[in-house]
Parts: sequence; structure tokens; C-alpha cells
Amino acid sequence: MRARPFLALVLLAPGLCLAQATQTFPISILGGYSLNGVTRFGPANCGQVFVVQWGIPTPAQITQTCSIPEFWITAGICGDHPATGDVVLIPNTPLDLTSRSGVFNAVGVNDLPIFNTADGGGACGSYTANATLYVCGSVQIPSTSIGCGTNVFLHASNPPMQYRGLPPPGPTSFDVASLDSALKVNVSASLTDVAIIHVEMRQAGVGDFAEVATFSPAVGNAKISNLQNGTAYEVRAYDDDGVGNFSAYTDVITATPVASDGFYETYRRLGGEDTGGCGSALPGALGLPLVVGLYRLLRRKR
Amino acid sequence: MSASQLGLGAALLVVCAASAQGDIAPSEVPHRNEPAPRTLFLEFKLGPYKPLIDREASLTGKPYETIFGTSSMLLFEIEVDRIFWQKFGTLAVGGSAGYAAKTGNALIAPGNPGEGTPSGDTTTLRVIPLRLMIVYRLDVAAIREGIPFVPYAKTGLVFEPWWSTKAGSVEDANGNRGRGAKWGYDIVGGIALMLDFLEPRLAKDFSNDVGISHSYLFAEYTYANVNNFGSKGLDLSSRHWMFGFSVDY
Repeated sequence: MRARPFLALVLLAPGLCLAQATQTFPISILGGYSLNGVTRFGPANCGQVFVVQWGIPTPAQITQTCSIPEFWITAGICGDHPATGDVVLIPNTPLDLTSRSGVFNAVGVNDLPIFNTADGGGACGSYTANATLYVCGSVQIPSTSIGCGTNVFLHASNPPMQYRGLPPPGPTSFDVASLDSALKVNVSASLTDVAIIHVEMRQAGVGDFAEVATFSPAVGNAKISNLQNGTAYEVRAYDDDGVGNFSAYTDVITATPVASDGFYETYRRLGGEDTGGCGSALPGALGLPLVVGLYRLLRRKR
Repeated sequence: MSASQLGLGAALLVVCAASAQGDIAPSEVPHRNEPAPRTLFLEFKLGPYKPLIDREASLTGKPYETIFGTSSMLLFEIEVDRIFWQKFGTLAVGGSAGYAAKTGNALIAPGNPGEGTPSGDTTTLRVIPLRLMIVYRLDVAAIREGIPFVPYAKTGLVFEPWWSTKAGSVEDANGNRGRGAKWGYDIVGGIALMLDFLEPRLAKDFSNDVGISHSYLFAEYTYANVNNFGSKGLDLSSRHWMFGFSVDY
């Protein structure tokens, strides 16, 4: 009979440990350019800094910590502790066993582990690759309800961040539709690589191109208004990854706004005599007594 | 056992069954033929609406068909009727509001390359038919005898604001704005299918709990002349079917 509680403990303990070990605590990155939930940096951010915040869930969820939390940035995998070459994050107030949240000293983009020139990495701005890094965190917590002793690691959410040293791919499709005193530009681009699509335009063969619209790949189009019907315009576009890398320009498309007739203009052109407005006053004069009579009838019924 | 004893037994059984179902005293059992007092009808309806714009005498072409083709608009309407008389059927005064829109491509204007062909611009005609009407429903047989068909008729005034846009803005044709409103009248005939017979018990619960006496599916034909009573200008008249769902309170 005595063996039964022990047996139950043996059977339940791995599940308990597993439940705790699979839990994570949040880390957030303030700075850079966020796209699809990933913070990205690039040549435009060299010399800038970003800030990291963390927090362990409330005592109701994580009752006790058994080590001082550690935080670092790695270009490899996170693991339980920082590895050689990782950038260790320095808390702006010292951490202890009771620490459950905090902010780190600002980190320079130039100091990311991929820019460790001692091991052959390029400096920020001249680094010509796209790299994924992780902000890592870990702390030890008890594996059972007995308390610290036999511990497991509780890891942070380890959010990825990117340094982009390569230009984004150019637009995958690009066309321009002629409208009345306007042009509609449709551009498709990679939703994961491209943050902003830029559209430039000039009157055909006259002057320099100037930017006339920007939009995200999810939007995919823009209408350029207040143009001259019958005048040819040259349009081109390029992609921007949001952190200082740009694709090559698309081919130039020449388009000419053209006057058009909508339904009412067509109706008038075909001899329709309606000039707008609310019609004659006679029906209104008929309708008013009807409404008043109806109102009085309903009041009398009550 | 005599016939009178059998009859007495049957009557007792009926009374017991009624009391057991609803704990209602025999004297309180409502008479089947007594119609519940009702005050309002509420209708939701949809139907194809194609204004007879192209029949305007002064036109040299068909602007509606040219821009929108031969298909109709989809008209959605909500109607509320206030019942003021209910003896042999019901008489009510009602009001309704609807909305319909149709979008097509604008046409390249004359004098330009490709004139008359569809342009990249879109153009939309929108209407909001507002009606004020008298409604008669011949629901005596449905209420008293349980025959689930209710023929009805409506007639009244129509006021219909309209506007036409191109590329999102109200059109302007040589200084005339493409928006206005037309007056007219309509005559409607329809038939409703009272749904109580499908689930009488549910219908009764619905009446007791929510206050909805009856629910219906209906189809109605509208003959509307909406052209400022024959004046010149845009003709928003139509002959169309509407289909919908209604309840009365």
C-alpha cells in the first residue's frame, strides 16, 4: 500500500517537469522595423540602438526561481547559457532571485554578434548577407513543488530578429491602368521580404522621376490623381525592405490618362433629360399631409 | 359501457391532457379560433431590381444597358407595418427603406483613342427606395382555420433618392450633378406562407416567450412607376419580384 503514493509521484513528476519546461516567458524588442512579427535591422540602423524588455509570468504561474536570469543575443541557437561570441545583455538594475521583469541597457546594432570582425565577420553596413539572430533568456525553476534543488530551465520566448544586408527582390508584377485624370499602379512583391513599395513618375521624357506613392505589398496598388488627360507619363517602381536595402527599378511603363464617361455622363450624352435634384414640389405637397395624417391616426389608436 | 359514459371519459381525458401539458385550467384554455392581438409586421426582403431607365423617351441609346449590361441590381428592403384594423384580415400603414447599387466600367469618352470601350474607371448607380403604403392582408383563413397562405396587397407613395459616382465621386456632367430623387407610386401583390404549421408547438413558444405571433416566407410582385408621375428625367420605375421573411407581433 505504501508504494502507491510513491508510484503516483514517479508517474506524475515527468509530466510536471514537462509542463514547466515547455513554458516560456516573454521578451520584447523595442527598435528596428517590425514586419510579420520579426524585428529587422539593416544598414539604415547602423549606429542606432535598440532596447530589450523581459518579464516572468506572475507568481501564480511561476512560484519560485532558483537562479538569476540570464539574457543574451546569439546568431546560433539559444541553449541554456550564452556561448562564446554571444552578446550578453546588461540589466539596467542588477538582477537577483526575486527579479521577475526588467529592461536592459540599450544595445547598439553595430554590436550584434554577426559583426564580430575578430572572427571574420563584416562591420555593420558592409555585411552582405541576411542573418537571423535570437534574443535569448533562461532561468532555473524547481522541477517539483518541493522547491529548488532539482531544477529545470525556463527559457524566454527567444524572439528572432534579422539583420538584412542584401537588397530585397524586385516587384514580381507591375502594371499601370489609365483612368480619367489619373493612373492606377498595381505592384506585387514578396510579403515577407518587402516592407514598402515606392512608385516614381515623371511626364514622359521631361525632368527627373519623383516619388508619387508608397504602399505595402499587402495593399498592392495606388491611384495617382490630378493628372492631365492625354499626357503621357512614365512610371517605375522599386521595393524597400524597411531597413535601408532597395531592389532594382522595374522597367518603365508609359501610360496616358484618358477621359471617361460614367453612368450619368453616358445617360446625359445619350439624351437623358434629368439634371439632378429632388423633383417637383407637388409630390412633396402631397406627401406631407399624408405623413401628418398617418401620425395623427397612430396617436389616436394609442 | 354506454355512449354517454364513453363521451364523458373522452372529455375528461382531453381536459386532463391539456392540464398536464400546460397546467392550464380548462376554463383558461384559449379558443383555437381567437386571433392573438397583433400590432406590427416586420419584413426583410431581397429581389432583383432593374430600373426602366432606358425607356425614357428622349434617349437615343440605352445608358443602363450600355454601362451595366442586362442584369439587375440586388435590392434589399426592410419594411415595418403598423396594424390599425384587424377583423376580416388586417389593415396596416407601413414604411420601408431599401438600398441597391450597380457597378460597371465607365466608357472612354468620345474624341479619345478607344472611345466607347470600357475604361479602367468604375461607375456606380445607387438608389434608396423609400415607401409609405397601405397594406391589406387577408389572413382570416390562416389565423382562424390554420390554412397557411396569406394573400396581401399594398399601395402607396415612393420617394427614391439616387446618385451616380465615377471613381468614388459623384459625377458631374457639364455642371449637372449626378444625383437627385424621384417620386412615384407602387402597387404590390403577394402571398405569404405562414410557417406556424411546420412546428406549431415551437410557434406557440415563440409567441409566448418573444411575442412574435407568426412568421412567414413570402413572395411579392411590385409594379412601381417612379418618374415624378410621368415627368421627364430619370425613370426609376420597375416591375420586379421580392422575396423575404416576415414576422408579426
